[in-house]
Amino acid sequence: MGFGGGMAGGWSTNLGGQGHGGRGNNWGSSSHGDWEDEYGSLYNPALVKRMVRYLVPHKRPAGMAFLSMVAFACFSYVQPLLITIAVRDFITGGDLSGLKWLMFAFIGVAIGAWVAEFARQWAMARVGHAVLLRMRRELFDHLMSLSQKFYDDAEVGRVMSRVTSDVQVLQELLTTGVLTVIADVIGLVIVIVVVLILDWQLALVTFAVLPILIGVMIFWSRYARRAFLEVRIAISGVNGTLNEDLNGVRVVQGLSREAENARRFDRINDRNLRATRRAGLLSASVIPVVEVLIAVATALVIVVAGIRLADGSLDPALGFAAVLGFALYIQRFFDPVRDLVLQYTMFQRAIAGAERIFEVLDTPPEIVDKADAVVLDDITGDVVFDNVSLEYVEGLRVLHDVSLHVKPGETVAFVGSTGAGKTSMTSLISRSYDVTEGAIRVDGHDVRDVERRSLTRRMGVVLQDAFLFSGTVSENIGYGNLDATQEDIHRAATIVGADGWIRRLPNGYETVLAERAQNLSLGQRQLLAFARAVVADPRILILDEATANVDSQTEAMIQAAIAKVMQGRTAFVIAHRLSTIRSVDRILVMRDGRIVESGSHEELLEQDGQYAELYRLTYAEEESEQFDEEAALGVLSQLWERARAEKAGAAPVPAPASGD
Amino acid sequence: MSAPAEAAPGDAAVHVIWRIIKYALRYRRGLGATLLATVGTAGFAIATPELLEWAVDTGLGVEVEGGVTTVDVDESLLVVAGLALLGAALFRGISQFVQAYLGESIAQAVAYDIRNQIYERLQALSFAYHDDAETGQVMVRATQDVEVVRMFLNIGGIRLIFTVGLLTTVMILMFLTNALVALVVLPFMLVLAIRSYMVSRALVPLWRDVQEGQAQLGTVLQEALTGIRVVKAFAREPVEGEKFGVKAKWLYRTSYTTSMIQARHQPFMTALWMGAMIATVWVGGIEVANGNLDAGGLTKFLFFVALIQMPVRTLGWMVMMVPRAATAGRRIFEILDRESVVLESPTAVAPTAPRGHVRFEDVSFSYDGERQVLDHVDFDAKPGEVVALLGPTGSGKTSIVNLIPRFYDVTGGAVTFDGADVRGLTMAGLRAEVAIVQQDVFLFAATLRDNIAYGRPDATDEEVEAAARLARVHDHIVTLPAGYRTWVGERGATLSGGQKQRIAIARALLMDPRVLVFDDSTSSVDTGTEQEIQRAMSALMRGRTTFIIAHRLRSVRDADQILVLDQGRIVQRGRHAELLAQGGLYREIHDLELRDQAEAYAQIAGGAE
Ligand SMILES: Nc1ncnc2c1ncn2[C@@H]1O[C@H](COP(=O)(O)OP(=O)(O)OP(=O)(O)O)[C@@H](O)[C@H]1O
Ligand SMILES: Nc1ncnc2c1ncn2[C@@H]1O[C@H](COP(=O)(O)OP(=O)(O)OP(=O)(O)O)[C@@H](O)[C@H]1O
Ligand SMILES: [Mg+2]
Ligand SMILES: [Mg+2]
Repeated sequence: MGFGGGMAGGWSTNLGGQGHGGRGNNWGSSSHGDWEDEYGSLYNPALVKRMVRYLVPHKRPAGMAFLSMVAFACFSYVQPLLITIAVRDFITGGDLSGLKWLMFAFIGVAIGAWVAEFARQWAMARVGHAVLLRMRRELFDHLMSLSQKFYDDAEVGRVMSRVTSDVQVLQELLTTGVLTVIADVIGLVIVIVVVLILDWQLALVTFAVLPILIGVMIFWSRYARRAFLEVRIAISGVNGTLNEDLNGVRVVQGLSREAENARRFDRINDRNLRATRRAGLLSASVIPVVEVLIAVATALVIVVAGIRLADGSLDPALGFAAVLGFALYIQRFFDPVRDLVLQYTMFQRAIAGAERIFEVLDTPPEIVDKADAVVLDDITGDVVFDNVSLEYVEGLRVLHDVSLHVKPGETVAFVGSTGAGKTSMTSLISRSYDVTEGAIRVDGHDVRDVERRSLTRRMGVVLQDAFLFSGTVSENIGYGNLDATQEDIHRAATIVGADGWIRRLPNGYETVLAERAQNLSLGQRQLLAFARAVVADPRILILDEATANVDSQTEAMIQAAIAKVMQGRTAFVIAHRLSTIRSVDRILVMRDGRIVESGSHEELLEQDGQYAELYRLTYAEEESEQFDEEAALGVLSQLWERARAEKAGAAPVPAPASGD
Repeated sequence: MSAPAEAAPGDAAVHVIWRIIKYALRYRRGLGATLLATVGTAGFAIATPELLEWAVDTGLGVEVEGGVTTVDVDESLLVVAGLALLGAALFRGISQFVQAYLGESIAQAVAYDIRNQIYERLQALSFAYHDDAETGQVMVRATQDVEVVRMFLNIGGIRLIFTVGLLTTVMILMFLTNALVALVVLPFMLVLAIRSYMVSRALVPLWRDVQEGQAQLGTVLQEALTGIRVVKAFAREPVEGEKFGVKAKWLYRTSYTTSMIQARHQPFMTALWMGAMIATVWVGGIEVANGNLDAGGLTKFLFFVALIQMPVRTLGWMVMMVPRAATAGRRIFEILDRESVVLESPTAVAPTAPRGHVRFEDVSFSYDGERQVLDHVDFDAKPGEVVALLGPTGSGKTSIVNLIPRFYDVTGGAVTFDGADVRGLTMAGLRAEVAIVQQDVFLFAATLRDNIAYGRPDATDEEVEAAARLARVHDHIVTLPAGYRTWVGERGATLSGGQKQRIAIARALLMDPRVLVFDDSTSSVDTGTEQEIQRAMSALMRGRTTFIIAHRLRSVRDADQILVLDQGRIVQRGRHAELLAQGGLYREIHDLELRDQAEAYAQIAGGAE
């Protein structure tokens, strides 16, 4: 079977291959449907051209791989011929010295094949791994450049599979696949020519079964394609579920949903099992067909040769050699044909992989720097919102016509009920999203006209959801400023009141944090994120509920310390605890995506509007609008009643069978 | 978790492989049939050269004597030989079909079993495991490593047995036909076997590196993607790219090295096979010329050698599956063998008629066995009481509530539920009575409805809505175009902070627990909404023991019991008024807030004038 090196393993290896195959055309599971059918149309010239481009930088090793493959094909397919000659001209004639020389030639061929095969594998490894590396880098860099919007819908597990497994499939195709096909075609030509020369009549007899084989294979591949795609869809479901439930395992255990989840997972896993078995059935079913056809051809050759030997139209020595040669070649003859069809499914898998990779690479970042983007060396921190409107989802307006001017060094605070649009306001300044209407200007430059990196470099952001990286405490604090010294880091930690407990950690600043800093309390995580923003030495500081999970005392301490640091910097503060923001220059009260009040703490209290109302709520008992919680409770108690009855009535639910 | 598994004695490759095989042994009947089919395949494969010999010798009647070849064709015998060849091929095809299909089926079934086990194990492992585990690592193990094991079972296992069996049988048959030719071929086969074994040994550490490299790459990738907001906010894309690049390069180098070993090994195998072929033709030719071997015998030999071409060429590859599977298996079993540190006792009972009485009896606790996080904590929360926990960040509030449903086990003392040590209760029974709204909200990529009903998938729409109303998130949901069917991005990416928290509250409300825990659950919610939620909760809290963790005194003031924590110890306890009278930390916090409050009243009063 072919020259596929690793591929040569046989039938079942073409199945499913890499672990996580297909993933959503769209990035999350929110969009359903068997989209994968769109993939895998075999020949797409643009796609092929694009893939070949990856080989271009490796012209020499790729060329070498190709040449050595051709050489190997020649050496390999010439062997039966050598044997035939040995039998025909020397062995049957008893010419042992002639045989010796032929055998020397044979040894030469073997060495040639050895060298060629080595050269091919060496060159292919070089090209293959380099292409793999490059694609991964490209994908990663591109993913890093995609905008926030992309990640709102994307599921990390699904995106990951494209960088890990799809790339591998594609690499397989680029190296093994393409070359194997070429070698198979060459092999086929050699075999046809040689057998025709050996004995054209016997050759024609042999060719008789070819159309049947080709027909069967084409018919088969039609079914196989669907089966293989089903496998990809199924396995992607398995991996997606696994990833998601692994991330949410704390909630799962907290709500005791393990049994239910195990049942669900088993269902998804079982779907995959059935799909792979079906595909396996299809793969295996080609085997008997090919075997029988080979036997038919061999039998035909023997019988026809026998008839011709009997009627004397074939010389006995020639005839015996021809039978031998043909029988040997028939095996070889079917290999490339069979291989080509098998490669076809592998092609489909790889093409689908390629499409999925290029889909990532072709997803344009929604936010890109203009070609003539201004690079800001430094900024003073003058921020203008000019009639800004924002829609995350078309038609659902989150900010309405907001205008605001914040002068350098000014500290403003956003307050307002949850979902009012406070976080959205700040994410526009750092251009995590683009405005739908209006404009944001920093230092007079529309943020869409400046290089984004030069803008964010001078910003320090503490996000509402404090995300930390695995790594040491000091690496995390220094994340935003590669030049930060240990002193800077300690100073920032002191400012946010974290120095004390950091030093109490087992290794102090060098303590290694777990993934997402799970080994810290939430408040501690927030403080580190805060310190990280301080170290970045920003001109514009954005604090989105930076101390929401921190106790009042620590917060008061931070406030005193931060006031000094903030001198001369523009700051945006979001907080629900009004004590946090009381001393800022200007407070903006937001409601349903609009700024409804603006002014200093005193002015706003004076106005006795929404802010004063909020303030009163914070510190006093206030009767707010009534609603019927008893009715809601009534509804819930039905559910509880039902659950209790179930628990009491039903015998303990058996754990879901795992496995057999 | 990130460090490769140390090779403990029980970890030896043979043990791991044997353990993988034991999974396949569950499918005894299928496995038996596969092995039978394998023997059949080999048998019928061997039949072909034998039949060819017969066809040449008797059908064609080829005789080589003294350099003269004669034939004596028996056409009817030839037809019989042809039909016999066909028959043998048919049976060979069928048994090969059975072997391939069943082999794949069993391998897939084992992969299915292992995946289910991994899933269940991961769900069962306590928080302590997940605190340290890297998601990327675990995912790679559960996907790529399982795949390696599957391929091993089918290719490395069943096919390897087939290959070795076939090679041995062929050698024996050769010896029976002509010892001289067989003797010349034998060394090639021996070298082949020894080389394969050696190479596979050499590859063991390399495959471990490759698989570890893949896992590390996955970890970096996963982290950069999950933390993309931070990466972008600090313009750190190039640095992350560098980090990824380093891992990718490392993986590149190790996999390149393995490929190079293969590149040296596989061509050598091919060359060996060719050597065997040359030896057969040469020595066989001499034997024929000398009259020690007939034409049919030579034919048979040639076809025997041709028969083993594929097996020999792929032997190197198959053998390689063994060390790969050993490393992959070891990494998988490392997860499966991980005992949860929180285990259900065999004599555990489910709480009957639960009332929600929680007691901490001199509880000490440490996450890592070194740093004491809770230090002799002692309190008694009677059924229906509201207990508030207050204290600086990192003082151990979350740690305390995590001990109630046994997310972690105490290191000293005991936590009791209705008078019974929680370690004597069934996990499911206990956890059904304790619902925690976790501080670090996690939402699933699913619809809003499914997120709220996560703990009670059978809840009706009306019930889901009631919970959402109580958590004060219903009003927002109905403004969305898709309402409760709105898709929530991973980790709730498309919701505001306060919206996420309220979904999490609604999720807990559906559970009907005896003990309710709100761990800083309204920190991202504005004061107005917070108060509304609190009032709704007070109706719900009736008859339930409630723990409230909060930083605002307002939220804890009315509690029956306030516990003030500092560095893992309860430094003060009592009711609001008592604590105020005591002075200390509580008083300090109070004064801090009071100052605001006093000023506020003054200002509001002033403003209203
Ligand atoms: N990425 C997003 N995609 C779609 N909708 C979003 C997205 N982010 C926020 N929203 C919606 O926009 C509105 C405003 O959200 P925003 O996060 O700005 O609120 P917020 O004022 O910060 O609230 P909170 O105090 O709860 O954090 C909310 O209704 C929210 O559901
Ligand atoms: N999973 C963990 N592994 C190791 N240490 C931990 C883990 N979780 C918390 N800690 C440590 O235990 C101590 C107490 O943490 P805990 O989460 O109980 O604090 P908390 O009182 O809830 O704080 P916060 O108000 O910030 O939420 C902290 O010093 C923290 O670093
Ligand atoms: Mg927000
Ligand atoms: Mg906490």
